[in-house]
Amino acid sequence: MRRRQPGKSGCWGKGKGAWLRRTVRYVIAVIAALGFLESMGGCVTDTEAMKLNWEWPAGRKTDTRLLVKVLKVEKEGKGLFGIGQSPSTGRYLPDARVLRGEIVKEPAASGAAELVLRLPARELPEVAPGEVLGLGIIGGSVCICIGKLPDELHGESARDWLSSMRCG
Amino acid sequence: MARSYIVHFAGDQVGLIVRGKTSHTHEPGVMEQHADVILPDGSPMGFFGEGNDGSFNKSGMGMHGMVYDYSELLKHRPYYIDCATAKGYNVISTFLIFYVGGAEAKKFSDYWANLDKSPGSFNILGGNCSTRASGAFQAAGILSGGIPGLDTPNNLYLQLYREKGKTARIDSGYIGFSPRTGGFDLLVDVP
Repeated sequence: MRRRQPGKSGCWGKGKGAWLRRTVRYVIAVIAALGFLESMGGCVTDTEAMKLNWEWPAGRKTDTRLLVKVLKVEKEGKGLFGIGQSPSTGRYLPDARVLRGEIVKEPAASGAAELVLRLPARELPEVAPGEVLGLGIIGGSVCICIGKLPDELHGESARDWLSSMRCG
Repeated sequence: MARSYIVHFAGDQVGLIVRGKTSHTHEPGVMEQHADVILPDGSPMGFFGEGNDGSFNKSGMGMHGMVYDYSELLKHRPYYIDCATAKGYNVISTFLIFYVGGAEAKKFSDYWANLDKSPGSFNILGGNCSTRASGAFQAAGILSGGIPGLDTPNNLYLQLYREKGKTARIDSGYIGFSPRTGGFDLLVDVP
């Protein structure tokens, strides 16, 4: 029976470089397979909620402003192998939080009653469930500013505050 | 001792910035680092993956590649281009800047202009920010080969350091870019 020898061609490759290439190919295959399997069963939540991602204003003006009652705030998970935490992916946010809220002032263009917003912890004001936030939105899916509604404001005064909320 | 200074780019320098690398000797984790480059006019540029829609690309493979210039970084990564925001987020970067010839500078800029037009795909393994940054250094003739080992920003940094380190300006700190006529100045705030 012939046996492959280290250092020869074929499966053994040629030294450390070939070993590294084989390892990388193997890791890619495993990651791709796990990613696919996770995608089969991992995306069934939040179909009713408006989903917002965070970007910084960069001189842009909001086209929609909403009042949102906080339901809960959670630290975002790291995802598959922590890939969601790679700063090279556009989706990455430092120390991300996921805010779920009930829309107090419904936008004309959306019938959603709730929303889910991903944002960096540093941008999130200190809030507890039941408190109200103002959000500035652009393009229907990007939140570019956030502020906490002062406790003493309600109704029309809350809406006035929202329209004058500083953004950027 | 804390100090601040400005690096003026006049068309004859290029640079690599490794985000999350806190010193020359620091070796950040694979998921804690990102590479951007500095063009000869001082512009920051970087390659990112977008399109994580919860499907196959959730694995970091087969994402859409995107080039972020200063205006895109302002929207997505202000702590990479503004010193005060970098301090707030405690994002320390290490950079390596060195002089290049006119032809090298042009090829380096052209590479990024072409990548911006046609960025292709982003893959966390073998097609990421450091892969594209390496491509620019190779296209310009600054580096003769690809990144030894895995394509990571720190491995590219170490390769550049070995080949260009003797004449390069190397430092770590909070980094910002200040727009000026015809380009940008690099602002460095060393904690």
